[in-house]
Amino acid sequence: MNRKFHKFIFIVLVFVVVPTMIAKIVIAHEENEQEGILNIAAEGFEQIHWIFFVLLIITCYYFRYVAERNIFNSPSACALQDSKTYKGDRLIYQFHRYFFWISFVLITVYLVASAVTLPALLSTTELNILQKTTKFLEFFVGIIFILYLSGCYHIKYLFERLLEKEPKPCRGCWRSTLYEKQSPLNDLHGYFFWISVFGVIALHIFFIFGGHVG
Amino acid sequence: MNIQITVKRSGEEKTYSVPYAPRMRILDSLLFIQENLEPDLAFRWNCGEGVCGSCAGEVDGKPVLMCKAEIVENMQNIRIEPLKVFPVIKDLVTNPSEVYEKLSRLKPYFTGKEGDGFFTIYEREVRKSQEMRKCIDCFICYDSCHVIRNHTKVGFTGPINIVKAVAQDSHPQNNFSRTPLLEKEGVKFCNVTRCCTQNCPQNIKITENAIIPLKEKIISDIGIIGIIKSFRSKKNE
Repeated sequence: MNRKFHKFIFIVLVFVVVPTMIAKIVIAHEENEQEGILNIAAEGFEQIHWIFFVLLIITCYYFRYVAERNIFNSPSACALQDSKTYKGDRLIYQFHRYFFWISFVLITVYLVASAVTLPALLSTTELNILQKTTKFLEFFVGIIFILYLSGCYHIKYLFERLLEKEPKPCRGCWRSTLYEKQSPLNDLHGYFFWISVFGVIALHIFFIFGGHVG
Repeated sequence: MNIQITVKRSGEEKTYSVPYAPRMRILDSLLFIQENLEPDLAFRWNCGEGVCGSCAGEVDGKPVLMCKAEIVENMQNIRIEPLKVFPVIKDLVTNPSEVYEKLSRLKPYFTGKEGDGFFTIYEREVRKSQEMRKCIDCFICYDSCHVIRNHTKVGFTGPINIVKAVAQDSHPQNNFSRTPLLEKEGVKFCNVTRCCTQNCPQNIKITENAIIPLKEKIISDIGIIGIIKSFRSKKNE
């Protein structure tokens, strides 16, 4: 894959796909307000394109490690093709960055919107207890997902790059603080991955029983 | 109680009966065989306490340091082999010169500006370079790497050489980046299954702290940061 192709993909994703999604969420918000329902959180994750989260997870270093070790029985037979066709995994982690940033923007927009409107939503009488629990669980999964994203190796790398530019000696500098706060999250990346995955599964069970899906 | 030790000796397998003692290591069993049963059994060992990295071998198919691998009571049959990725010289002694050959292409020496010999080193710089300098050259990571084992044609440099290169790169006075060299030596072929990290006797997080940051650094030249850089360079032009 050449550089021009990556540039093209990046421009399409950032300037076309993400604004379209945000616009869709905003429109949904306005429609919901007109109908008297409180906010976009009423629609919740259904408004967000799950495909990006799925792609993010599939290209994640941790997921690939888990899948290849457990499905393909490494170390003697990891998930590699024949040496003639195997060209490395550069494309995978290249795209992981794109999916990372799209997911990050989407989940942040969702969380900010939910944080503002969740208390009112939980106090309303329009929703039953199961639907209220679903809303709360959605918000909780969103927070875990943000923690999962914050522990990403890409973020670690960015903070490392920032750290290199820090003047020496430096006490209590913001770059060091950022790096030190992110490092434990990076160590727990795998745990947050599993909590997010099981959280999403639980959420869908709640969706089904709450009447949101199907 | 005796345990059966099968040793792969220059192509053929021989089984020896060795008396078991509590807290016995694989190296102890080999020393017993050499002293009492087979004086010409060849294997490397030096410190016997996991520091020198000489006694690496495969025990039941898993690469380990034989001085650190303890024999537990329920292990009745143990199979000991040399490291599979290297050509065998004799018995358990292998020739790892291909690693050094690959390493020589990565400038594995100090490439910084030498001053008067004194410089200030800060704690975070120590933390960064210390981990990679714990490597004891045991070649266990190299042996456990499936790219090295199954895909010899791709010419992957191997985890040990990446660790060595990152150690040199993280020197506070270093002013030469080995990233382009490592890119040429096939870092992209690692598919982060962490076999090397899992087997490393020094607990170096090879994948997390050496390979993944390196991969991120390489793609930065193509990805978002690369695009920003290219815009900046165009502006400067």
